[in-house]
Amino acid sequence: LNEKFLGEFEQMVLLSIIRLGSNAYGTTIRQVLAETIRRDVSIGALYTTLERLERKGFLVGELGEASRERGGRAKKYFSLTGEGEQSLKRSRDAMNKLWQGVHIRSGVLNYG
Amino acid sequence: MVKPIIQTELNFPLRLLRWSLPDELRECVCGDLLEEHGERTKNEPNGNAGYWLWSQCLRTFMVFGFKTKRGFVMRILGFIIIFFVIWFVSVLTGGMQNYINIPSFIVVLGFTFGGLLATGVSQKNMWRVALSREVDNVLLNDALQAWISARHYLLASGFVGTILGIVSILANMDDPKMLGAALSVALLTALYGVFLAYGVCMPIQKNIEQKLMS
Repeated sequence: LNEKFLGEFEQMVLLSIIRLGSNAYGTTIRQVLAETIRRDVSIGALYTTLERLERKGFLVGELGEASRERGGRAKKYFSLTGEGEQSLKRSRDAMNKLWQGVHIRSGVLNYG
Repeated sequence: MVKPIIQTELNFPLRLLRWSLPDELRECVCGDLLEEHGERTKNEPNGNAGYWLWSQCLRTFMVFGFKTKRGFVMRILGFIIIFFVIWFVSVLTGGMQNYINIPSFIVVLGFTFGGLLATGVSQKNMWRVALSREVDNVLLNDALQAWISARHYLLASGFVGTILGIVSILANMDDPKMLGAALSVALLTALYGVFLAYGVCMPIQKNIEQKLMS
């Protein structure tokens, strides 16, 4: 009953990771957020959220290869866990239920 | 075609950022920023990539700096507030030049330096401990006692300067020009002594105490 729902930015990050598939790491996640929803987040804010989601068990991070463009520094790839997917679905279902019956008439939101 | 700049060494904003990041995030965050900076340098040759990097580093520093280096950041913030308040008050009351008095400086620094020498305090250790990270507990204890002594001498020097100034005022009651100079020494020596004792020595002393406790 006391299920906790994901925050708006957490959902955006998880959805970006799903979109990116096996190429989800800091730079690409930031780029997806900037290009898709025009949200220019700092890499620090992004990693704070990624770390929080990893701690909650919704994400797993894995160190990848280092490249010359990155000054020989490794990437950290992220992917969703089963728990992360469940949590994301739960948040979407909750929003869908709340949106049911809400209509936009002449630019104004109305219920019923 | 413009070649991307491959940057392997960290420049100042990245070094600042790296210092503030937790160990597990250092490599991946710096690598991400270097990679995107390289791409932006290629696509935006008008220099925006540099501003972008600075902005990212400072914004990220604000996120992690207050968590991982809280003590250090607060200390620097404290010093900035102390200096700003003194500067602001001096500007409101006629300008900084009114508060600069060489004889008062000489009394405060000379009395403190002489006092520390006379009591056999190792001034070399004081600075070594204040500026270095890795020092043993014996050295820390020595430095702590030295900074406590320095604080006492600074406060005493303010008192000595005030006495000297008052004596000079009393001895030159007939000469109005000398009265102003003597009064300046009397008051500013006390100000310098209190400022250096509580604005500089006290924070360093507390920092050493924290190192000893940890």
